[in-house]
Amino acid sequence: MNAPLLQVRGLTHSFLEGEEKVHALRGVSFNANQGEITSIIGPSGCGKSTLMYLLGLLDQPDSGEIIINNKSISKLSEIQKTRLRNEKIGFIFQFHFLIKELSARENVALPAIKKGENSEDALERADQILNQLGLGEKLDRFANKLSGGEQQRVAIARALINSPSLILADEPTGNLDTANSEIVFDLLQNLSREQNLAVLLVTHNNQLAKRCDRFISMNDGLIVH
Amino acid sequence: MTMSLIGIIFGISFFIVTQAQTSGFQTYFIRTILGTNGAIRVSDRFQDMKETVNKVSKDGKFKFEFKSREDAEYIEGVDYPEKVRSALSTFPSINGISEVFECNAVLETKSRNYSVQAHGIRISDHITVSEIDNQLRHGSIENFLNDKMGIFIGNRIAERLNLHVNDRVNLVGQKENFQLRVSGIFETGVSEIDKKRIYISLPTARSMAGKRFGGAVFQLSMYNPENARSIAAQIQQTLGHRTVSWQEREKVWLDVFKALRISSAITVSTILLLSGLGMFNVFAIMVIEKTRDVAILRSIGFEPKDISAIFLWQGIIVLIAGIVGGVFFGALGTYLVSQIPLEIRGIFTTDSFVVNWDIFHYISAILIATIFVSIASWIPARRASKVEPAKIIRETI
Repeated sequence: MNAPLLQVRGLTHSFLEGEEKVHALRGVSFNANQGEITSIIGPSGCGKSTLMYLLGLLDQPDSGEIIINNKSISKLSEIQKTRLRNEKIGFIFQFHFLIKELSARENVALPAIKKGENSEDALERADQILNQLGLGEKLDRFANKLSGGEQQRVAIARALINSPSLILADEPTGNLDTANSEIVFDLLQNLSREQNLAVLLVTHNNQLAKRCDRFISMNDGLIVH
Repeated sequence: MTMSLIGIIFGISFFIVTQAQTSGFQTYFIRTILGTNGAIRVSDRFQDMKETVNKVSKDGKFKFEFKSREDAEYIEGVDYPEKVRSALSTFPSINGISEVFECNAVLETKSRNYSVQAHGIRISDHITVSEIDNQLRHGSIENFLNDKMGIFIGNRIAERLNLHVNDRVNLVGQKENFQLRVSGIFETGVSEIDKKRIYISLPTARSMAGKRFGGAVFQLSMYNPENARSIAAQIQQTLGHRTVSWQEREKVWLDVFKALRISSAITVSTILLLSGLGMFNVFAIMVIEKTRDVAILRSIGFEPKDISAIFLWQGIIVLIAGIVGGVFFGALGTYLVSQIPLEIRGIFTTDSFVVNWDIFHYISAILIATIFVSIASWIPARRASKVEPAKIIRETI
């Protein structure tokens, strides 16, 4: 049994939608282990993405606790959270969110440059990762000139460049066809095993969810299974 | 963004060119009047007869105070010139003292008579307080020095009376007449002086007016004429003579130049302001357009200050390009303007635009542009740094 990298305790979150207060999370608790993919499934609006943003330290929970590597992040300052996000957490979004004015290798190198790495070294490492992900021929291609599957692989490479311990993937295959979905999923599965990463995968695809090491089902802001 | 950059370049260069022009004319005017009438003029005084001088104490310091002008006797000019000269020479900031005796006279020539203002001077003293040697168009200082009956006349007088160097003229004073020889013809550029003033030797002037003692004024030059106002006040307080600095004497014209400079600076600054506003709009729109990218950068670990820096750097790049272009075109424009023919006669004489090459104009233009561009890029940059990534990502999806 792997040690839990991520521990979530009684997480609640609400936000205003117009004048109505929406309770997106009503007390969510679970663990995510290193070397495992944990899938989160549930209907739209059940709080999956909100959970991901909280775990990615992009948003602030109303209550509850997030513990990463046995350290509670609730008392960290914004700057410390940003640094933690840069160094320990890799984000993969459904719409890949690449910067279209930058090439594939520049997009991948960005987090490493932010971490303080020399631009040349960061670009070199970006090339290595992109090569490993089968994009060696398209290093200098602008992000918007790549196919959907290729863009998602660039996003995965960007999430990996700082060797994070936690990957948060918010419907990474949601916008891809079956073949590309398989490629991206296999990639995440291999990475979690080879690099001992904890991967949290939000998906609507039940087939993919069942292939994960652990499986969490959410509904109406709560974990139901 | 290109339009904003062009606006900044134009703003800086226009600012430099207009300031070079207006201050050029002002500087030229000041040089002319300093070279003609000196930095300070010491003249009449009131001799107080009774109870007008009191010793007063203020903050532990004693000083003398003139309380009233009642029962005071007016004394025209300087009555003890040697004592005043001696006192003036103790002021370290004064580098030239010339005693000038002024009186009215009539120049008689074969063709016509002409009223003039005669200035009796010692030429060796007067060249230390004026530019008379540079203002001579014909003749020489030596002619005047070697000839006790020599006379310098303004070029406008020479034109009107058709006089040339070495011509003989008759000068009719209140008491005596003298036959003099033209030693030189000068041009100050100030038409009022060039058509009225003549210089003769001090003893000749006194004899002509029948006033052997007193009645003269002192014209002073200074190492730093900018300090003339305070030094004049000190002299007046010390000597009791009415003492006027060039700033006070030429206040009307100096105020006109000042108003022109401020007016042109304000006008041109609006170009920079509009460019700044244009830039602000561009940045504000860019922040809206790039909100998604900002959210991405925040999600991969960029701090709010990093986001601000991206926009600020863009502003700095535009500013630097604007400064380089603006300074280049400003200097080029200033040079080209200085080549434009323009004939001015009256308060000074010039045949082309007068410009003043002053680093301060460049610094001022850069400073104003920097302020506008900084504000124009800082506000949007700050707004960009406040973007909440989760909200933007949620809305994008």
